[in-house]
Amino acid sequence: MTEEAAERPEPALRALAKQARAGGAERYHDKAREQGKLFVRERLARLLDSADGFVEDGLLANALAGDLPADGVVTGIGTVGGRTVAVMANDSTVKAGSWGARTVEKILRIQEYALRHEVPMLWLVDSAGARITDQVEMFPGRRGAGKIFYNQVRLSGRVPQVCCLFGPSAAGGAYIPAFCDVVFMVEGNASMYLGSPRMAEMVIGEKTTLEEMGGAAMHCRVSGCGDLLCADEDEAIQAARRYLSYFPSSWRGDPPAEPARGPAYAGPVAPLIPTDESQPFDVYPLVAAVVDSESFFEIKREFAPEVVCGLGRIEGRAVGIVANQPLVKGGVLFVDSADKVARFVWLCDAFNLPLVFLADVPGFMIGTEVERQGIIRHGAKLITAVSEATVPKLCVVVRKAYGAGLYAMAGPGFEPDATLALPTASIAVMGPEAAVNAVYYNKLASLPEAERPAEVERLQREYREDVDLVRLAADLVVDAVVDPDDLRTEVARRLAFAAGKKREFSDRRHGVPPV
Amino acid sequence: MTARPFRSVLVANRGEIAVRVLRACRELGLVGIAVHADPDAGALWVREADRAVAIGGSAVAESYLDQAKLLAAAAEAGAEAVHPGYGLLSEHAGFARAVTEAGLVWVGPPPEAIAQMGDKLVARRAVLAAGVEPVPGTTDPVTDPAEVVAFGEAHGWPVAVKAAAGGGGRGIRVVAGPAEAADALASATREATAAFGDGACYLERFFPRPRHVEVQVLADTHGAIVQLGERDCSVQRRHQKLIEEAPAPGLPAGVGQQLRTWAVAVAKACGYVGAGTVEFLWDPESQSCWFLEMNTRIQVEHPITEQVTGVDIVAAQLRVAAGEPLGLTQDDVTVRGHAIECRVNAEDPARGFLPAPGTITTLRWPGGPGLRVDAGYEAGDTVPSFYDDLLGKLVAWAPDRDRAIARMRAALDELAVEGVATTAPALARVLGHDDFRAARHWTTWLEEALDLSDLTPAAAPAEADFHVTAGGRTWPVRLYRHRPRRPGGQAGGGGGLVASPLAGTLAKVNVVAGQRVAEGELLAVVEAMKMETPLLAPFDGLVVGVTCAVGGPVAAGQVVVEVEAGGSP
Repeated sequence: MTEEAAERPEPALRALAKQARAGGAERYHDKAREQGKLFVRERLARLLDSADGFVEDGLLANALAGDLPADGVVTGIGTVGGRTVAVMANDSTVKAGSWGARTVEKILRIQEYALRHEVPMLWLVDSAGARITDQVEMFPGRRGAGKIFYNQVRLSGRVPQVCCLFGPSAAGGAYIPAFCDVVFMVEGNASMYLGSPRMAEMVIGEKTTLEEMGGAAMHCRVSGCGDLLCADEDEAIQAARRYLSYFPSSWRGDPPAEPARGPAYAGPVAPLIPTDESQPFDVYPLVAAVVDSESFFEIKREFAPEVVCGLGRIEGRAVGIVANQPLVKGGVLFVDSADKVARFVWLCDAFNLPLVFLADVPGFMIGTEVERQGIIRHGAKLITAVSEATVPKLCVVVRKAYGAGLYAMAGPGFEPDATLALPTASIAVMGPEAAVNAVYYNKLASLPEAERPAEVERLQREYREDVDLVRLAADLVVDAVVDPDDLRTEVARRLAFAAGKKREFSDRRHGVPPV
Repeated sequence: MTARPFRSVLVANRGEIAVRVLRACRELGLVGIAVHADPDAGALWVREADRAVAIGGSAVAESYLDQAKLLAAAAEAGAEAVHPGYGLLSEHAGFARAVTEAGLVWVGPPPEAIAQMGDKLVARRAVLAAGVEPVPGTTDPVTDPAEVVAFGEAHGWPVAVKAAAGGGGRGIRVVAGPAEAADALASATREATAAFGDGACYLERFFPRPRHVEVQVLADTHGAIVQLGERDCSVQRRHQKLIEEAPAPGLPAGVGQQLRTWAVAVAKACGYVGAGTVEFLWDPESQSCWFLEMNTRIQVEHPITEQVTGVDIVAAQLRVAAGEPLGLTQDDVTVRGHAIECRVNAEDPARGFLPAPGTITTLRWPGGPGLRVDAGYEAGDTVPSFYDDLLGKLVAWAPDRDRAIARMRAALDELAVEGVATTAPALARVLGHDDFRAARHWTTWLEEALDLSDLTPAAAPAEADFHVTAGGRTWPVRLYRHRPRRPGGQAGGGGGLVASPLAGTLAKVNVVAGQRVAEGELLAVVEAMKMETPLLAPFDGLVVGVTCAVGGPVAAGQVVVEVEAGGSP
């Protein structure tokens, strides 16, 4: 080695790179460990198939600052489940993962990579938000933080956007998870909020805690911003990997298939469904009777649980399941249920996952409270999503499908590939009791009280005969009446035949959907 | 005895033997009737039976051991015969009599033979009279250490001091020589008094490394009696057989001949009819053999004899019970090849064969040439904690022992059980062990020479996400790719305040203040949109109050019932 070679700059650069990979000061690592947090590179090692296969951009971003390794964010390309993904991961040991100008630029560039190459965009979020000191460089301009959200909107529906929320996502940063398709939140650490509790107290005089106002549990149960409450970071990472296995890399592809398995529930199906339509039953066993064993990935389980949405597989083929849950709030649809289903339907339609609707729904909720919440526009939004969905759709009428509930569950008017009815199915504007009461109110009131019950019963019987399943089948309202034990097979066959369906809806820029 | 043909058989048993007997019934054109206790509703033998009668109860005493229930079931189903299987009431002379007195055919030996062979002392006298040697022992309680010494000198050391009230290996003390006699007898008597309330002790010659060899016999009501060769059942845990084989490996020809002759002599001595097994102890060290007892019923391990002789023993039981002749002479019986039986029990061998009841989520029995499976369960069935935990038996036949072992090892590999731990890994280890392959093992070899603590159950019990009971069975459901945690309180309100999740009418209240409730218990029902919505207890606790009136309106979020956690039961 010559003297000149010894002075070449590699060793210094290597040291700098090593320092950048090590993240922030030791005390911040200690603090993270105390909170049950993994270091950003450990998170990546667990998320990706192989940490060695990861190529990183901007490791030396802001290297001249000295104390901002990689400017607090790791971005790059790796593989998950064998497919290429773009990743952004905040490093909370560097200024609490806050954003400077280079941070934002790195995020924009990895997003733009995902846009150009049409690969899924994965977000490992743990950031305190903008560095106010750098605001002019990173907030308002053409390549400021706003562009991140603009890019996210452009990515939406084009490639899967998956978020693991490990820590805070505050103020503007809170929108990153909001624009993702799915958010896995670590209970206790994850939070989303626009203004901190301190700010809330100052500005509106509200005393609250971070957990109460913007904690993971609140978002997964109440606001609907979270999709899955995870016990720890590893669970969130595994959930993200599993979630991705249902999706194509972009809107152009079909979801990857897996080897078919037997049904998750192999027992008799008919006994699961009580014939008395007012009697609640648990819909999960019915879902299990339709999907493959160990294939169901539920979305927003704890939010609006009166309707169940989840990814699943039927004979290996990825599908989206939407099922009313009669056990919770009678399976009635509310504003939150409408939001939950609408988003899920958009998700599945965007990425070519067929939809199976299992309907047992008394309709949308009525009353002053829900009217004030705009139940009509929420319902209209849901029906918009269901209408626009051009993936193969199957409407299975399990028991009742009353009123707009029928429409929300992809009833015959909404171009399902088929409307299937179980023998317990009942389709009508409303149930017999309500209908008789509504139509014959005056007539019944004019009768002597002693005669009313018999007349009510007669009218209800007449009504039931009018909407009898045989009548509905005879009039071609339903396409097939299916034995419950054959439901899975029937659904599997119809989905197999519907593959390759032509996807057209309406010529226009986009609709003006009610929200 | 006159011929008593019958058309239907009640199988007063459960599990694989019930399936086995029902199979034989079907083959013979008989109507097979199953019985089942509550936990066995919808079990495999119930599904396989032509008819099934629910006898209720859970514990054996209130189900399969309840004679009145079984006889009532027989009457209800129109059974004309009763097959007791093994265990349970199969060796109960009183039940055999009760069956006969009810005008039914008892598929088993005469009650007198059961009674005679069931009483140790009576049996001992009977076999001695027939020229058969029981294990040397005393017939009266021993109190003087001198008697122990005298016994040891006469019959050889060591000597076992056995509690009269003991059994199954409990209450035994081994005396190596004269010097230990006094202490051993004193402490055995003391322990027996403490444990059984009866200090009486007997003496018996003790063999440290014996083999268990038994001979299958068949007799009819016309005086015919044949033996079907011997079986070795020396792989045992806690005196319970785990692996059996036929013929007995390494048994000198002369000893085998002696045992077969003795078996027929014992059967004759007690006027035996039907299928029975005479059990012997063979001590390879001293090359001596001794009579232990006679089992007056079908044995668990009967299939290995069926495989090497081609005789259907259960069918023979049914035919003999109907008064038909055996149609078989000793000359017709030839033993061909070698058969091994492995008992697959729902037990965890790494934890001392601790019973592991539960729901079987996956169960794939092996198959192929020379392999027979007698099973009592299928995937989706639940092994209740109340009864014997035998899932089924693998029986491998091959022209010789080595090939039978190889076939069984392959079968154990192929066997797939999930949901419950099984004996399968222990069975595989035994079959691969040099001692077993060289037939050097003895009845306590498994416990003394083998360390099974490192075994992991063949398949770690795969947890079901939840269970569904439908069609009389409990089905494990493995729904999730990613299993969500239990959702937090759906009832709203929070804490112990159980609120209506939506506006409606309070249709029903199931509890009153001061009542204890368990988590998930139905507290009240709200009716809204013509749907009933249940309000459930969020945790175990005490109902503090009901805050709404039945029939009245409730608003969304309105508290209906207040529950307080804990509280003394």
